[in-house]
Amino acid sequence: MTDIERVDALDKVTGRALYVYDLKFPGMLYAALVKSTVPHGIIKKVDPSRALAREGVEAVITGSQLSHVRAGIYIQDRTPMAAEKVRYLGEPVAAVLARDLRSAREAAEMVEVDYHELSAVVDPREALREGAPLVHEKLQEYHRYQEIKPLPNSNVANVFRLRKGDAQSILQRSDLVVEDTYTEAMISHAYMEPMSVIAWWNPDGTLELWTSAQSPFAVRNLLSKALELSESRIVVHVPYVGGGFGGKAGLHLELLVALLSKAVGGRPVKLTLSREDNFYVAPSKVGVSAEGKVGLSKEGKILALMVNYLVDAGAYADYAVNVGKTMGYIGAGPYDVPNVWIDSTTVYTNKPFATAFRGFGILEAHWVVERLLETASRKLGVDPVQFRLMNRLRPGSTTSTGQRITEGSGDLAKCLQVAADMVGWGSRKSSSHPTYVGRGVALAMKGPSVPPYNSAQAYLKFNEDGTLDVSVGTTEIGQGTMTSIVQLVAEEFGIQPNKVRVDLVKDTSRSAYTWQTVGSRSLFYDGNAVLAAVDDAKSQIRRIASKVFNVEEEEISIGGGKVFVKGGSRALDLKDVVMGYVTANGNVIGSPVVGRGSFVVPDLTYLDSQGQGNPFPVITFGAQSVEVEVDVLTGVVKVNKYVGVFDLGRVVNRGLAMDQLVGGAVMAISLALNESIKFDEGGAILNPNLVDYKVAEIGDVNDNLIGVFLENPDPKGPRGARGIGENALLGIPAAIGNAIYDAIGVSVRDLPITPERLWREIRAQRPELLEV
Amino acid sequence: MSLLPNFKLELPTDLKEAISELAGGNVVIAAGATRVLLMSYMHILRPEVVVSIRRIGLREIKVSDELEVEANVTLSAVARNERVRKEFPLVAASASHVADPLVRNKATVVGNVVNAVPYSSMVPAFLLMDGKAKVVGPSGPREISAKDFFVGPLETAQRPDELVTSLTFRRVEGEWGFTEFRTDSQLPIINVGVLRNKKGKVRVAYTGLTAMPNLLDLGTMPSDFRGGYREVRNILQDLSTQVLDDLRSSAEYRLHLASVLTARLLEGMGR
Amino acid sequence: MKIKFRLNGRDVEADVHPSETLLETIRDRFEITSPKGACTQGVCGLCVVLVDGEPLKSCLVLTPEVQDSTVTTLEGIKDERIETVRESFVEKHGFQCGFCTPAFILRTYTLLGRKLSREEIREELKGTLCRCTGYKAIVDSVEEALIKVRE
Ligand SMILES: Cc1cc2nc3c(=O)[nH]c(=O)nc-3n(C[C@H](O)[C@H](O)[C@H](O)COP(=O)(O)OP(=O)(O)OC[C@H]3O[C@@H](n4cnc5c(N)ncnc54)[C@H](O)[C@@H]3O)c2cc1C
Repeated sequence: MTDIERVDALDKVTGRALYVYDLKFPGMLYAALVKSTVPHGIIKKVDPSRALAREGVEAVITGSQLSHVRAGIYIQDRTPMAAEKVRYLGEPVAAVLARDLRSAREAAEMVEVDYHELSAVVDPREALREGAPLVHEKLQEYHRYQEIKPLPNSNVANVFRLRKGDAQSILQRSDLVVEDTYTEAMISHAYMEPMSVIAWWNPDGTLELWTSAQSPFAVRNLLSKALELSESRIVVHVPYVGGGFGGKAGLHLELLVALLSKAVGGRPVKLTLSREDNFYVAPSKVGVSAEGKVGLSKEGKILALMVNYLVDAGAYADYAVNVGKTMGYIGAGPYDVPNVWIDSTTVYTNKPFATAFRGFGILEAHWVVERLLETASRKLGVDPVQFRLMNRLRPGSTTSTGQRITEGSGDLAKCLQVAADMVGWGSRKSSSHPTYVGRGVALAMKGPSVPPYNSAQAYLKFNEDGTLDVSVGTTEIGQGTMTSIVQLVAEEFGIQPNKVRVDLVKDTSRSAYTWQTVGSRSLFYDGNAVLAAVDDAKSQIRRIASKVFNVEEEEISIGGGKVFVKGGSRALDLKDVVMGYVTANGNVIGSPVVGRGSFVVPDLTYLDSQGQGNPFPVITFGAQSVEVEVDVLTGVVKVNKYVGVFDLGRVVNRGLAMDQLVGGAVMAISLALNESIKFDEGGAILNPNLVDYKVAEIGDVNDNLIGVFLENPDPKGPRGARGIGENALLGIPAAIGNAIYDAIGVSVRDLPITPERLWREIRAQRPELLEV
Repeated sequence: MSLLPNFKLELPTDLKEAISELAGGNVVIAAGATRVLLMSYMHILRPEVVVSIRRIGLREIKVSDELEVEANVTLSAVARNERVRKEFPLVAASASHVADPLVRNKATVVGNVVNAVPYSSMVPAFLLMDGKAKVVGPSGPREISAKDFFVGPLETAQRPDELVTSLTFRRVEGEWGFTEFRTDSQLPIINVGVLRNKKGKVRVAYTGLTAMPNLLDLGTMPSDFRGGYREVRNILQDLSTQVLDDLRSSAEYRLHLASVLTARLLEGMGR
Repeated sequence: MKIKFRLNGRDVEADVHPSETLLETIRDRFEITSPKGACTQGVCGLCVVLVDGEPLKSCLVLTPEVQDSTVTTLEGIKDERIETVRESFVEKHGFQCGFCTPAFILRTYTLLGRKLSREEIREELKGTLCRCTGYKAIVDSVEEALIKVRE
């Protein structure tokens, strides 16, 4: 397939693309948040009088005024703003609405709030302790999903368990047991467009929302539950989105802004977070600590794996409980391990809360599993690449949840061989003190973490001139799926891509439905749905044409923008058929064509009490390798080269797939080496800004980022394709860690691997390297 | 979008007017204003009155025996200036390390040095090149030498009612080096400048090591890394109790870095 | 404070707050949307505008400072070479979500006519962040634009 130009290109390169951040409406009010100054405390009093007296201010709404409404995707543990007590420093307790932003922000500083401070728990290990302060006293009373099981009178939001075989006893009988502990910092998605929402109620009681969100239908669904308002009374608009990376999945500020608008008679209200507020009020990625243990045979077979994950959700569970669960059920990831034992405990702490992040727990698990197995293979003296080849999943084997791998799942071994070869695995390294070169590999495996029933619709309708309009539910967040959708449709009809228009901006009352734009599922689900809609349209076209030509439907072909009889010379332009064919006497054969399609994977299951079942609609395998250079005297790590090899089944648009691969690589390198939200003991963020929260800059990475795509088609994928969006990151942090070990024999366990941290590890593990 | 806190803004059009604006109250001078605004956004500074000196002229770079950089000269202007690059390469190099081209297009050299923060990139050059600050206040002009200029953390010797009109850098013969170190922050955690004169005597200057800038005479130094590292490490040991310990780096690491970076500069110059 | 300046080829006047930044003024008073404030702390560089031809971060400019100056955003570039820059960004995939794209395109425009290596391009474009692309495709786009315009 040849790539087509991105369908959002012109809007974006002219600067004309509009984001919620850019929108305003007549009479619109601006909201500013009053944020808690303590990490944990009872709200004694909120005094808005000074703020209300300020020029330009129209209303001050407090958390307790909205406390009748509850939200939370898995556990309804939060109100739109803190009502009785605050659970993290920075939590909104009130909102000021004013005619301009400046008035709103200034007035917000004038709202006086008194707290009765409670002792706070910031460290997740402390949160587990008997007698630790409780973040949620009434945890057991919250509505929740069946599968999520908070422990009453504790800070435990959920414990996920996976048991396959009998890891505990096999570990005792293994020839070699390796154990280690790992940590991963909370990090910020740092999408460039801060969260931004506008809400406006129509006179008929319909809520209209404009939001910078990944999943308009999830916003609608969760709002409908929270507001007890039918889905048809909620219209969610999503224009262009300035990046999401998981941080804009689910429901976030939309509920609050909807209620603020309602409180002022339905006037349009806009809330855009400043970058600082985005660090506090918008959710981040979970923090993780993990204890891993692996048992091996002398020959290097992995016999058993145990991992105990502790996942820091912050003050509210949001997606974190499911991230924790997914971290658990990926288990041994791409390895064929007969005995797997995983506990993944998600806890509440008095910190800003966490949500989904590109990789959704599976990213986090790769750091643990790939580092632990690397250490094990080194201890055994088995070449890490051979070790991985020996233990990998292959057709016929099952994942840790017992899901069967088939020939259609792609060629993991080939991925690894290519990744190892291209990074120069086994070839000479030119190290000279104090600069050491090392290479590392990691496997990567992920499928969308989705509920079994998740689905997608698509439809397409023709216009009089033979062009067509397509609708899918997925949003354009930069990933380019809309372009692939257009490409698929254009190719199916053999027409120019500019004859296919897709709904780049979403309106839930008009656009086709899709569950969410998450989990690297969009091309798979929406692509399949759109191909089904194409088939539906084609059969309508065939029916019409067969009557026009007086032949059987099977004899009709569609291509090159034409409808023709196979093997014959009779042909019609699409445009003469798609609105119904008008005969010479004015009769019409057929009627306007509307294609409809949808997609679901029928045989997925929930996981049982042992964490067993078929969760993944599709799995993408890959292998990632890096060469690094470590300056031992400063602890600085440079990634000289990166190779990512993925079996994408079928590459629809090579350029776009490569964009995901390269962009994902830089994000992963950035978070592996630099990124962490730093907290003080009182739960305040020390770096709530892009000055001291550093994301990769243009000079920080080089061009040596190489992607290779294998194409062993997936029988269920659209034209055989699989997803790549999140996969691009998975193994990179571990590959870097493994390469550091390869370079200097120092084992890193904690992310990010900042220069100071690595320097300390070198000093502890290989002090001789620092002798000058 | 973050908004700046409210303040009054004065934009005098000549030096005299500017000086009269400085009298009284919580007045903050702004030249390029980049640091004033950055610190305001980060809630470190909350000025009542900002006096912007952008319209008072003072835009010249004067090259003679010394280099004189007036108050409104940007870092870009200095970094791009051919004569500065050739004749005062340490100044040009230091300037081109600050932030990024967009910030440098507005930020000034003087603003970088005055009220020096621990990440100030230009201060090592100013100290090493026996700089002088020319200041003007209600009681007329005076000069302050670099040695006497840094009087406390974030504090330099001009009085609140005085304006720095220019900085001068003395021409020095010999070899020079400059480097900085950044980790997970946009701001450097340490800046190091070194000079070795014709006689082989070495001077080194730091910002980011302690709360105030440091200028040290090292005498003759070995030019191999090992020797350099050991000597510098020994000399810096005296400062060890004052080394900064903050979000961006621990004291221990800073001290180690200072020795490594200095020794590397010395080694590089030797080649 | 009352101030006058030239904005995208038009003389404009506004009565602004003393601590109002040029970014706020351009977006909120003149409804020009291409400069964005992703951090509004001087870091992200998405708010870049040309002030008397020099690219500056407009969140680090107080509006009264631009009295009598000429301010240009991407919307105000009439030079047809900007089309070449745009085409290069489309062809080489120099964007994904698009939020930083106007900034990179405007900055590339200021480099036209120069001959720069990839390293130099990275040096010149420092100070604008992109979270999606990993920058490689942006450098490809800029390289392409510089070559095409020189030809
Ligand atoms: C993203 C970002 C990155 C940065 N990175 C760096 C970096 O790498 N290295 C670095 O050193 N700095 C850095 N800075 C800080 C700052 O931009 C520079 O220090 C800059 O050179 C300051 O110059 P200015 O003209 O903008 O100073 P201003 O902000 O105008 O002033 C700075 C200080 O000097 C005083 N002052 C200025 N001019 C005079 C005068 N003529 N007389 C008396 N007092 C005066 C002011 O009152 C203020 O205290 C960074 C800033 C940002 C926003």
